[in-house]
Amino acid sequence: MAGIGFELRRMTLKSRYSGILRAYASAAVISAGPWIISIMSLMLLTYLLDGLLSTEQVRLFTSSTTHVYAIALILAGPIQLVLTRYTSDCFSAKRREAVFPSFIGAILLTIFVVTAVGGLFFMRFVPAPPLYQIAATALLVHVACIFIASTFLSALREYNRIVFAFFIGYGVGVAAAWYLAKPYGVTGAMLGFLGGHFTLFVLLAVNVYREFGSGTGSRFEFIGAFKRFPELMLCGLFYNLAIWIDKFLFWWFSTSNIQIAGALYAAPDYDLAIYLSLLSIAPGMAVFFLQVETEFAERYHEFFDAVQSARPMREITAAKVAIVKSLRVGFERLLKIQGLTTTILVIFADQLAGWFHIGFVQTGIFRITLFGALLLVVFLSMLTVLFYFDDRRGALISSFVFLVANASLSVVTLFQDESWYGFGFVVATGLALFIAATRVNHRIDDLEYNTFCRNT
Amino acid sequence: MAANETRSTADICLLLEGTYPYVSGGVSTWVHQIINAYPEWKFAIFYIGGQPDPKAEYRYQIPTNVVQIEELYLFDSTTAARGSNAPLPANWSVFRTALRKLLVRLPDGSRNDLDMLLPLVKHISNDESVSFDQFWHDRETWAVLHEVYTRYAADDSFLHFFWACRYLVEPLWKLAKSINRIPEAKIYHSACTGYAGFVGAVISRLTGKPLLLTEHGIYLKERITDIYRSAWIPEFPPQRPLLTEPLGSLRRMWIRFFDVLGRLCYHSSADIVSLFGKNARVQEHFGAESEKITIIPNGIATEPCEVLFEARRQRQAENPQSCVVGFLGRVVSIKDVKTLLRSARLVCDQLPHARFIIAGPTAEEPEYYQECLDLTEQLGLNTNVEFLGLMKRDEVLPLMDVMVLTSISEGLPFVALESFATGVPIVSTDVGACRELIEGRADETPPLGAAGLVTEIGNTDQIARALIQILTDQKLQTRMSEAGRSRARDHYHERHILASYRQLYQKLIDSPPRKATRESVVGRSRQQPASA
Repeated sequence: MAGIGFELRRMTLKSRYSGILRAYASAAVISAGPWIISIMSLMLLTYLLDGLLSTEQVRLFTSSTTHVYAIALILAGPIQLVLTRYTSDCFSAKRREAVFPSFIGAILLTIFVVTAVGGLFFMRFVPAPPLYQIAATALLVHVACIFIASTFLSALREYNRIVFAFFIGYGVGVAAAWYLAKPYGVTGAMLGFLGGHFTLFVLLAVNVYREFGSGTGSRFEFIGAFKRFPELMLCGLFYNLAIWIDKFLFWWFSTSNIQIAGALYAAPDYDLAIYLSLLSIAPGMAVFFLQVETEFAERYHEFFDAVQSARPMREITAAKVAIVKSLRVGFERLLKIQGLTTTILVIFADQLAGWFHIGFVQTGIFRITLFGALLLVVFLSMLTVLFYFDDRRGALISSFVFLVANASLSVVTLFQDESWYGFGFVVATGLALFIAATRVNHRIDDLEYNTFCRNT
Repeated sequence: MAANETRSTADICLLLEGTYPYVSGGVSTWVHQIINAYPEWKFAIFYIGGQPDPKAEYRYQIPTNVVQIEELYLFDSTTAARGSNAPLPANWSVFRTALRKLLVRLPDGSRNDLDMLLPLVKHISNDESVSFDQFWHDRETWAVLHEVYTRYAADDSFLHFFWACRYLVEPLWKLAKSINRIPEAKIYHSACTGYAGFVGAVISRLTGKPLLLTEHGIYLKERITDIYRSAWIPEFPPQRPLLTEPLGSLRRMWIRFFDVLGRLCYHSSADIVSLFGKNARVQEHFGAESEKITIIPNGIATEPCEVLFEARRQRQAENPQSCVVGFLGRVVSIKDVKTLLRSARLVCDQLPHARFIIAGPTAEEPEYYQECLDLTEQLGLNTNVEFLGLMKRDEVLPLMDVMVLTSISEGLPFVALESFATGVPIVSTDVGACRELIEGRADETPPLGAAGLVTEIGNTDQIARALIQILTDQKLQTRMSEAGRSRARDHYHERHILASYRQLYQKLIDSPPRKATRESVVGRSRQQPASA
């Protein structure tokens, strides 16, 4: 009989629409969590060391560790986002055995990059005893590796273990730094703190090994993911750079800056204010995180279920409306809780300033940056939603705008007097938030179209 | 004839879907016969395949009067480059408007549809830069789909609607893209409706050259059977089921698609050839205008079979008790060999010395073949039934006392004609032209009588009874043998058939050209002499 009519391909649709990566959704939140813990333990340690070491030594220590965190975040951030994507792709492709080798590979890569950059920075540009320089570089490598390791664990949703490990690690670190500071001064403190981070890293690595086994496969296969997802790499770089750029600028160029040692600078007016206000986002973060992990994630999967289980369009659209609702509820709660927190902190800023021995100028900056922090937490949440919808370009654009705006506006405020300090950060975050929110809106409007025509 | 006509320009371009020269079978045999019959006319072939098979080879020695062969593969996934997501060029808005108008009013295969389709085809064939993916992923295409869906299928799975539409549209897109590759000719002759028929309708309208359609089976009917049986179309029972519409909407959509293609082809054809009367009525049912339909059956050269007839007669004279039932064809499910085996069991119960010889290739459906072997074993027929594999017709036919055909679908099988010419009576199920062949057409003059017996499809009792009757009644067998030989010689000799086609071709070649609407289609295909 004539005719080919019907030798059509079997429609294998299931795999095409398997939503995206629950795993890396909370990457932003996860990277923010350790950062809060680190600021808090650093503040505690500064308080403890105050009685043991000279002011210069304490300053050297805090400034070194602050730089360590900044550089580690900026260097590890790009690797982290790409890795989260890579591991969750491994999960969805049912290739769990490929995870541990890539963990080893990622750690090696991180050690290589961070040692090169951090070694150069601390050995060449920070005049201090050689042992101190080595310890600071080692601390930098450890911190970056800790970020990488927690990425792997957060892909598993093992938040409890991460928090527990951080708790133990920082406990050991603070105690050891305090214990060693007495006989060995600032070098001892640095070595003690390093010991805590070593403990933390070992704990995380053991957990990773326990979850994934040694596995099989190439250690550097994940490098290919950098080529596939350049937006993620750049987004990680820009976002973390943006978070720190205003601090660097204030350290280097503000009129009241202090040179600690060589390239290490501090801007006491600005630093404490902004660290404190960044701490204020913890409640909002927790609220949104909870919403994303529960409500939103469920609605999100229901949407893709509706697509995959071949429902009529009106049910697919209804599932989308449910996503929108859950997001709305999430952001409402976030704004309520964070708004309340921020308002209370703004009102009682003077009392707080009393407790932390903050000066009048700093209190003013603190009040301003509190608003910036409020916007930052909303921006971070929007970024998370963009990752869920796989709008990598949107995430890239908004973090790039964040970086450029924060840099240029901070420069502008630097030319003004102290009363302007912090406004650059506020406006930059607002701008980035606006762009991210617009992208989220577009993405949701076009969700059906994108699901059928772009995800295939 | 135009003076500037090049040597290689064809007279007749055959539009062949999934047959000659790559696939053997009834249609291909006929094509080969036709081309060889008219060495004075030059032929071109536009072959439409599914997926390209690098191992595929020509099954026929291509005659020297074939001047060009073009091939197009509709389900070729290798060429589907990842399309860019760039928006379509601005001039495509006209295209979308036309597409929307066409889809929203639900095509019905009328001339009106063809009028609306032509600009789309021209647009696609003229714009090389736009890939199917780019078109399909365009926002406006999405909007059109969405509108059609909301209007006609809002209760159905969007996912399957979306993909079904894609699978419907993509082959048409590919056909439109390669419309300029279709060889130039004075007549276009399609061997089926479907995609080839669609192309025929379009090219005939574009060039003003007449289209001739010969349908061996009924394409739409075969597709409907496929669609009913295909497991990959998910079934969504309608929300408000009607007794008259037992099919899910997706199956209805597929059937409608092939229905529309068929109607476009019927309406565009200058002449429609049917192999036998029953099919002609089915064509009418599916929208063919009855005044266009001519009946030209298949035909064979009966003379070579005379020797076989003699061989058979000698064999029977040597062994008057011989009870050999033969089957000559591919061992595939559509031939329903299992029913043949079950009937064989019943025959052997009565005639224990009866032999069944099953000759034909077994490789096409190896699983089915294995099942047939197993069934033979289970029925205890190992001594009675013999699978001979691929055999020469001339070797097998003289061995048969009766031929049996248990197919569930047939056109006008050449094997039946050969069987008649050799004087072998036939027991056949009532499919295709079989009743007409065995009992003779109602207008047969003089009536030649039955050349075998006709049974219901799958009715093993009837088939067995008919076989026993012919095997045991020697006089009846001789009478049927003579009737078959006369019928093949007088009514199904290729001489008659080829004369009819010659007349038809000549008439169409001489017919005044209609106005061509091809002016905007650029870039005629390069002419390639075919190398056999």
